[in-house]
Amino acid sequence: MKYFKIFNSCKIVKGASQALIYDLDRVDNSSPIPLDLFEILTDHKGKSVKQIKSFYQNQYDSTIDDYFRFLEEREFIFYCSEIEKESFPEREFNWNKPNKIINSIIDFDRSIPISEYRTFIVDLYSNDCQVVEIRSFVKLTLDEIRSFLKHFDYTSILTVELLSMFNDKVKKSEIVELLDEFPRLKKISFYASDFSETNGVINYSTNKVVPDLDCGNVDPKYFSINLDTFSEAQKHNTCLNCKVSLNKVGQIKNCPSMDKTFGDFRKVSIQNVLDKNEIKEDWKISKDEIEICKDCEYRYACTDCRAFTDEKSNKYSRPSRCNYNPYQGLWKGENGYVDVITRIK
Amino acid sequence: MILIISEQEDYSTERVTKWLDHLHAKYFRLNKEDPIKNLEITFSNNDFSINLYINEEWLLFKEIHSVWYRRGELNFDFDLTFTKNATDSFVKGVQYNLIHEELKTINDFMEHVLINKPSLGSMKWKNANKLLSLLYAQRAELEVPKSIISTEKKQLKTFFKESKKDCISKGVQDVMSFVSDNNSYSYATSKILSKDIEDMSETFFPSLLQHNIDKKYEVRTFYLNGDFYSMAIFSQNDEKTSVDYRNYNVQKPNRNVPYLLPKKIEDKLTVFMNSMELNTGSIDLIVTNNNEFVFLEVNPSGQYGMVSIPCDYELDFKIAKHLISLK
Ligand code: SF4
Ligand code: SF4
Repeated sequence: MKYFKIFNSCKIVKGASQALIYDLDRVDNSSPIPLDLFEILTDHKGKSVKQIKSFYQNQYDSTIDDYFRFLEEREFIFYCSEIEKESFPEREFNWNKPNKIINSIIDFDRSIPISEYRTFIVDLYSNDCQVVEIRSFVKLTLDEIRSFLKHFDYTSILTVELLSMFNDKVKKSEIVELLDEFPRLKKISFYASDFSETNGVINYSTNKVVPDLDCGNVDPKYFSINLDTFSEAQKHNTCLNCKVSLNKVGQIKNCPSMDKTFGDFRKVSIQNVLDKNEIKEDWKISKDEIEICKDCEYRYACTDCRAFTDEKSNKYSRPSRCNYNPYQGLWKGENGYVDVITRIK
Repeated sequence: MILIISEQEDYSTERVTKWLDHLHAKYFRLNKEDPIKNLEITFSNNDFSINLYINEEWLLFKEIHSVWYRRGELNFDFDLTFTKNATDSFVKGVQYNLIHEELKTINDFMEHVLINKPSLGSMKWKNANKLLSLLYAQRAELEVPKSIISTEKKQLKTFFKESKKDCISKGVQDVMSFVSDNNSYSYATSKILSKDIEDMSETFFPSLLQHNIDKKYEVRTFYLNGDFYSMAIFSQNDEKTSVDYRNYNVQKPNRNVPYLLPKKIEDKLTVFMNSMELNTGSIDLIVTNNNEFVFLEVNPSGQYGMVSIPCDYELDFKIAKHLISLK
C-alpha cells in the first residue's frame, strides 16, 4: 500500500472560501485549492488514495483521481510505503534569530543634516540590523545620496534601499556608478518622475508619493511567499517585528507612520529604547489574531500594516488598505466583489 | 573562551557567533585569512604557554577552554627573507625548506595542543579522505556503493559491465569545483556511459567509478555530538538533478524535507563516526527503491545550513549552546 505525504515545504493554509498551498521551495508553483481538497489533505493525511475513496463511499472517485493527478503533477505530494510512514516528521516553523533589530526605515526631509545620521546607522549596526530603507521627501542630490551611503561603510548592514523624489539632475548613468561604488545599495527608486521605467533595481515611477502616508498597500504583488516570512508570520508581525525606524524629524519609532515615539535619536540610544520594551508592543501580533485576516488564506504572505487600520482604537483591526474579500475569494474589481466591512455591517 | 577556526566568508560561523554574542559567551574568531604576525611559545617549570598575535590582539592558548574547528588553517605570516649572502639558488632552496620545516613543526605542535582541547570538529580532519571513510563505513556494517579506482581501461570496462545499469564517476579527493575560461568544471558526480569509457585511452590517471544506485531519495544528515539532524532530498523527478543534487537545478529546486533515519542506521553511523574520531560532520546517504541505505560520504565541515534552514533544526543555535557546554 502506498500512502500519500505532502512535501513539508508545501504548507496548506485555509481561508474562508478557499485554501492556498504555499510552495516554499518553488514560489510560482503556489496554488489556491478548493476547500474539499483541503479536507482531503488534512483530515485524511497519510492515507492511501484507495482509503480516501472508500471513506467517501466511492461516490467521488473521479474527482479524487483528478485531485491527486493535480497534486502529483505539481509535485506537492509523494507516496511512501508502510515502513517509511514515520520517517517524515512535520516541520516546525519556529522563528528565532539572534538579531536585536533586523530592519529599519529612515525618513528624511533635510530638517536634519545628513552627517548627523551616522551615529544612528552605527547604532543600528551594533544591534545587528540587516536592511535599511531610506525614504526621502525631497529631491536628493547625488552628493546627498553619497553622503548617506558613506555612513554604511564598515558596518555589517547588508542591504540599503533608497526611495527619493525624482531629481532630473541625477543621471541614470550616475546611479549605475553608485550601485557599483556601494554594493550594499540593492534598490533605488524615484517617485514623481517624468517617465516610468523599472528593472527591479533602478526604478522610476510617475506616481506622486508621500513616503509615510503611501505605505501599507495590500496587493498580491507585495505578497511574499517564502520560508522566512512564513515562519516569522506564525507568531510575529512581519512588517514591524525587529524594526526600529526614524521619522523625518528624528523621532525613534517602530515605523515612521505610527503614532508612538520613543525619543530623539540624538538623545537616546536604540539600546535604551529596546530595553524599555514599549517599542516591541506590536512585534508579536500575528495575522492569526487580526480580524478578517485570520480567515484569509494569504495571511502568512501578506504584510500586516498596523499604522493604517479599519479602526484605530482596535489593536486587532484589519489593514484598511486591503482590497480582498476572503469570504468571497474576490479582489476589488472582480465581478461581485463586496467590501468586507460593508458586508459585515 | 571559545576559539573558532574558520574562514572569513563562512556564513555559518557568522550565525553561530551572533548566537554566542546573544548568549554572552566569549569567543575568539580566527580566520584563515587573518595573518599570525607574532608568536610566543615558552616552556618553564613544568608549564608551557602559547600566545599568538593576530589582528592587533594577543590570543592566549591558556584562556581557550574549547575549540570549534569549522574549516581553514593557521596562517603564519613571518618575514621569510633569506640571509643576505644566500645568493646561490641551491643555498636558497635549502634555506627555504629548512624554514618551512621549522614552521611546520611549530604548526603541528599548536594543532596538537588544540586537538587535545574539548572541541567540536577537529583539525585532524582538515582534509577528509573519501577512501578512508568508505573503509570505515564498511567496517561499521554500512552498505557502500561498489567502487573501483583504476588506471586501466580494461578494468573499468569489466566493472562497468557488472553494474548492469550505469556508473558514475567522482573525484577521489574531496568534492570541489572550479571555474576556468568561462567553463565551470565540477568534481560533483556525473553519469558515465559506456561510450565515455570507449573514448578513454588505455591507461590514465587513477579514476574512481561507482555503480550507480537506483535511488528513491537522498538523505543528508548533520551529526552533532551523537544527535542526527536529517533531511530527505527528492531530486529524481527532474532529469537534471537525478544524479547528484549539487548540480543544482535553478528553475526547479529539489524538495528538501525533514527526515528521521531508522534507529538501526543511526547506530551504525554512530559507530562509523566514532571510528573516524569525528564528533560532527555532514553525511550523505542514498535510500534505494528497496529501502536500503547506502553510505556515500562524510564531510567533516559541511554546509549544515542547507539542512538546518529547510528543516527548521536551528543548528546555529544548537552549535552555539554545545560550544558553551564543552568542558
Ligand atoms: S506598519 Fe504599515 S505604514 Fe508602517 S512600515 Fe509597515 S506597512 Fe508601512
Ligand atoms: S490584509 Fe487582506 S489580503 Fe492580507 S491577509 Fe488580511 S484579508 Fe488577506
